[in-house]
Amino acid sequence: MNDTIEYNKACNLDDIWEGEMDVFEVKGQDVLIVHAPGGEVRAYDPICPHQYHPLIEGEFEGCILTCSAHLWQFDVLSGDGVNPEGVALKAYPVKVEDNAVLVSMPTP
Amino acid sequence: MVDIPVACNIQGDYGFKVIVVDDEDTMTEVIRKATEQIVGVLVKQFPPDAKLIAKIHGADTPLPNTATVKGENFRQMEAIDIYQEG
Amino acid sequence: MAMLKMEEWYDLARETNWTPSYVTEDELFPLPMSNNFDIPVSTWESFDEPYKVSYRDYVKSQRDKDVGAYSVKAALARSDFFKKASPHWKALLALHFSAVCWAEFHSASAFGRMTRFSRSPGMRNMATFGTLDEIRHGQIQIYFAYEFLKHDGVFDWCHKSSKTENWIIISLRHALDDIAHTRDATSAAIMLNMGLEQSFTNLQFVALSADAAKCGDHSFATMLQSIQTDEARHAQIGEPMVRIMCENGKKAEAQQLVEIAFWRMWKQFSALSGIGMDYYTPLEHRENSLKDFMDEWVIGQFGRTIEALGLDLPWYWDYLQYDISTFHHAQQIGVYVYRATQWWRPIACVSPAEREWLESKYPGWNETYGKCWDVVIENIRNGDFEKTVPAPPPLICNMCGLEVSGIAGDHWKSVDHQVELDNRLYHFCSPVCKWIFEIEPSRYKGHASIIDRCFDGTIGTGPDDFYEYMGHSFAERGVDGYDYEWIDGYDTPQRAAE
Repeated sequence: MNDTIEYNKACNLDDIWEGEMDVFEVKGQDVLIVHAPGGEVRAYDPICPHQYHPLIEGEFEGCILTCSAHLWQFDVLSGDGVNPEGVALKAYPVKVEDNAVLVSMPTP
Repeated sequence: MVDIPVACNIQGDYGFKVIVVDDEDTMTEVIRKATEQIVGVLVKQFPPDAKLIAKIHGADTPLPNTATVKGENFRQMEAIDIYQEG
Repeated sequence: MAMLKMEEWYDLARETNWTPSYVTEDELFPLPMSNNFDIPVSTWESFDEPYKVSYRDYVKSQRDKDVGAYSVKAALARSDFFKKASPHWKALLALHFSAVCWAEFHSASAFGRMTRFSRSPGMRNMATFGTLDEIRHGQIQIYFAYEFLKHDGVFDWCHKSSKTENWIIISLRHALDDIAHTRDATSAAIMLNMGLEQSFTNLQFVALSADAAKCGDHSFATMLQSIQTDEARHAQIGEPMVRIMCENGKKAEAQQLVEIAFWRMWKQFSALSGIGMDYYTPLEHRENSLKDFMDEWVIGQFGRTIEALGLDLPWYWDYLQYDISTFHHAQQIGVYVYRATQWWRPIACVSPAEREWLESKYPGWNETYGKCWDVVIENIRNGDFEKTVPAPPPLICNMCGLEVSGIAGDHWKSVDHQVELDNRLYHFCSPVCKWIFEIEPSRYKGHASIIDRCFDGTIGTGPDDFYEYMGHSFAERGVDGYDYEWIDGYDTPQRAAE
């Protein structure tokens, strides 16, 4: 199964330190890369599911990403909504190999 | 001889303008009073040979230009359309 | 002793209610203040707001927001921004602040009514924060606006406007009185939250904030964003209310409340944001048109929200599409040509480049509304400034208080929607304004539009009577914000005719 999933490089791990998030382009699409405290890396659609505001403008502290538009909060490890519950960020498969952050993006 | 407000929508204008007419005015006079205040202000001049007519807004047919406001039982702030015949 | 996490006690605190024993429920929650739509209180108690906040968190986050907004303001206070701003931007600021400040502050009263009279304890809780939010919104905007008072006396209207009978203020006050201030707590919650906050505030606060940042007005942009972050919390009151109504056989009632409120607010925003986005925002900073924004945020997003809640799209959704492309263009002509009746300095915003943009966003604009502007432009080029002001007043809609208008120029079509009642002829700009009137004529029939007042003896017929009635001193009558210099964008008559 894994052989059929295509991964492309979003950035180097050095480009995104622990506790940071940033937007990178992969195959023509923007993706939000989050480097959580503890070392886990996640990849998400960069737009808030509430009213489509760019998440990069929000605040990332601890493991919580707070959208700047209406202060919705998401757990960066699971992508699940913390406040409110019942929503989630759209996650993409991601892995770190040889200092590179690789993401599998859907075909647009 | 009673003053009555009439809301006029002149051909080309974006909305209605409320003018005051005398209830014994004919449609010719109502049209003149309306157009002299709006033509050249919000709508361009009609062709010199244009015949302008008036219609109660929503009616099927225009009024004869000899009809009077009183004769046609205009209500207070009656709405009329003013446009070029043909 | 460790503090409990909010999630551990939130639901208990939120659901705390009591069963009255000394008075009846009806005495505690009289129907005119608190319509329960025959739904039992145990059902209302299931109200669950998605986004949760405790008072402790509220105080902290609101303080942080205020510090953020006020510090940006303080840092920019000594900048020359306002002095250097174009008449476009000044007109936009004057219009925004004079319309919005008191409207926000007044809505604290509506939220206060919800705080006391809502049947759901959870909603009473949320409405408490909403009341505080709206006080904040009124105060912060007046405070920011007053920064400009030393530069321009027009900002006196931020406070003054609601106390006047200016025709635009009558229009806005009527609309907000209708949906927020003369309804029971349940109805007001649905109308205000679903009809205004969820649907339209993004238009004026998010889109405008982006344009403000592009224009370099970071103080204004920050303030708008800061205000909008409050919206998610108190605007979400409406959704659980609608769900409870729909799940308990009251979908038709909820549907009608949303349909009335949405339309009343659409009319106001079409004038305020429509003129703001498509005309007053400087051309180089414009991205989306009103239509672009409405298509994405309202037709798209709000439409989906409505349907997800179990409601239908409003019956007039197709008519709305027509109105989006027409109404505010007509209103902008009126606001300009009758500029003396505005308290700010209106601007035309129809230079050749701006007309090209309008044509690209609204194909056919030049053949329609452009034809009226052609006549105005010709008069200005000839120096006949007085001829740009129509002598007779316009017909005003007996519901929304704005002009009854339609399509101008080569595709001329205006429609006056009428109701005859008790020997009086009422005029409406649209089938929807008429429909609202016909739902409850006794509620609306006593109101006289500014034009009715011209002819029923309320306003005198002397040349200054109209302005005095509206609260304008001679110095407060609007004039062209560019002093007609924008006409320099047009070349000689021969060239312009090509």
